[in-house]
Amino acid sequence: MPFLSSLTHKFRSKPLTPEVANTLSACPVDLYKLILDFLDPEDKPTLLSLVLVSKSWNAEALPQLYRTMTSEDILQQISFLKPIDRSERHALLVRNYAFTSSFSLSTKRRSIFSSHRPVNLNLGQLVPTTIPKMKNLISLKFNPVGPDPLRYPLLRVWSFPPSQEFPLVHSAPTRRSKRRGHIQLPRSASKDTVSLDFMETDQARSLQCTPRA
Amino acid sequence: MAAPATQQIKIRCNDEKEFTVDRDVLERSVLIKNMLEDVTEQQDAPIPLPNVSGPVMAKVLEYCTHHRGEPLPSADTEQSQDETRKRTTDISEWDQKFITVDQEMLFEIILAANYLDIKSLLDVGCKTVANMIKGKTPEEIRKLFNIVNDFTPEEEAQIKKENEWAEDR
Repeated sequence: MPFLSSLTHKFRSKPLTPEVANTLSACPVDLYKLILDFLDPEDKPTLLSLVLVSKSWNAEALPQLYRTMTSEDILQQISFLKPIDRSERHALLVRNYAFTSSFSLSTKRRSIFSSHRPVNLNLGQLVPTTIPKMKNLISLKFNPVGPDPLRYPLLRVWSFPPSQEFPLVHSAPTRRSKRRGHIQLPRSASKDTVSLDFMETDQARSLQCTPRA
Repeated sequence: MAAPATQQIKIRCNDEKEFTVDRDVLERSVLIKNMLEDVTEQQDAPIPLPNVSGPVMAKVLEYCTHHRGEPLPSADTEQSQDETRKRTTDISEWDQKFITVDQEMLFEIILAANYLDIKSLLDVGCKTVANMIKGKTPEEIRKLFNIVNDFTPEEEAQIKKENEWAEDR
């Protein structure tokens, strides 16, 4: 049956080498992406593991690692923003970014703040300089809390009326969608977080954070 | 009144193993469905499937038979929105039992599902691999799937340094 035979070869024929067919390396790269889609984008440790597995996995997993950042862990946010600030390649990978003024601290990090000693985090400098570098950003979520969040310098930089369409000036429309970013301003804060008070300290917009009593 | 007879189709795998299968079962495969739609006249000779072996095809047909009659995913549903990429890794009880196979068979099924274009089966296979990867270190993943580390120690150290924010806390 030459006709059907030719069709089976025409449709997505991907010959396998039997000795490697039982390994993940044997899968076409398209399948790496599909497997990555089934990993939680917030499961950063697993995504980081894949980034370090091999060069081919690195190429597929790195965009997924940077794609979404919504951590409420303030130190993780800072160490995330530092490579973004230094590297355009990393900045361009960020698609969804959420920033909150109510931060939690992981158990390990909580000890850093146990002394109640003010910690200069320089977050106020990092956020305004890094977000404009995220030129492929499609969603920016911003969660101010407290009675008057706009009094803080950082929040003042990113102050918008609630539910306003946020014109991402630096964001080129994606191929699939002409949508622009949308800013959301939920008013409720998670009960499980350790809240920090921000205080304006100087004109350089650096912030001092102390745990709220 | 007797139900109309279901058309049966013959397929031949790369190890010469042949199967005769109801057309609606085989049409879970978009590849075969498209081929059958392109052929107008009755074909008696088996359809050759050069990329699938008999044992793997038997598993694939078990899956297709169980899920026969279910709606096929449309092209639109595959266009996932960027913001909602996070997908469930839940696997139904039957599918879970079905996909509990050795690793060699798991990857053979994934590759066959990819070749035959059976999206739901491909998803089940990829979800299973994703679940196996979760929480593992790079070395554990390499060992599990026979992946060769092709980074130099310097490259690896650089990547770790750049991405230390993502480490487990």
